Amino acid sequence: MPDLGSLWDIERQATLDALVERADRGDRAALPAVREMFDAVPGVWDWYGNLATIAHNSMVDLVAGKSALTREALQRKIGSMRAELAGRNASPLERLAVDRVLACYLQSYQADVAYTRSLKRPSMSESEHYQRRQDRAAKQYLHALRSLAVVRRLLVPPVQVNVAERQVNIAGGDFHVGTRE
Amino acid sequence: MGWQERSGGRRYYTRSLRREGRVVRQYVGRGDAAEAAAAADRDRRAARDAEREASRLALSRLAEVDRQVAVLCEAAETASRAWLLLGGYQRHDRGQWRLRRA
Repeated sequence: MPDLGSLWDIERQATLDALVERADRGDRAALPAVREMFDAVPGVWDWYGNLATIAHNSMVDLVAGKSALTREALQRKIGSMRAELAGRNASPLERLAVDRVLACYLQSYQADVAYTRSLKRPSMSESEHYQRRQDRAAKQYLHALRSLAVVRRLLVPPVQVNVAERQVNIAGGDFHVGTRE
Repeated sequence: MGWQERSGGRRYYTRSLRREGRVVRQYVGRGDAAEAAAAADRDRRAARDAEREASRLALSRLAEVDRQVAVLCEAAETASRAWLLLGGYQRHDRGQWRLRRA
């Protein structure tokens, strides 16, 4: 578990879960409390970062085992994927969404390998367990990618630059070109 | 499976086997051959137990790591939903996010 000495903790997260659930069901009275929680406790993003670090490290340990070479290769792969997905100016929310994608990517990759290995064992029920886990991990990965796309599309402010007489709006990798009035 | 003792103090070794869906008892006998069969059975059982234990440990480790990923996913999901709601978006029946009408 992340450092509970920080200002954000698992209980605050549970409170936020409940408030967001209420707001998502249409109770707009819950929204000010949600905003207040984010404003009042800046440590929230560090806490999320810790969650991501724990999940990534555990997954890398699991996949690499005792192989220092595999560990190094995985860490580089994760680093380059993070740079590619998040870029330099990502908001904390985008970074969190990217960290989620990376954790799910590792989990899905590991689940594929574990299932393939389980096929060599005689126990049918064990193989079925690994197959169910593989399916869950793949779904979770797709969900994480979808969530990142939604955050990018709806919450990342578009950048507007003017090139000659044309206005170019850049948002989440999409380019919209229009004539300047 | 194991050693049985008859009256007179003589020991003999038997093992249980599954044949056509039924468990049958096989008489192995006494002497060196029986000792060797008993040792082989013991080794097989130990190897099977060790494999089962290793598999149990592997599954419980996987469950723990999966739990950590799930915690991250839930936290990230909540944060995304929170910011979308704060950004003025809403969704109907857990569908697409759309800007809320003022």
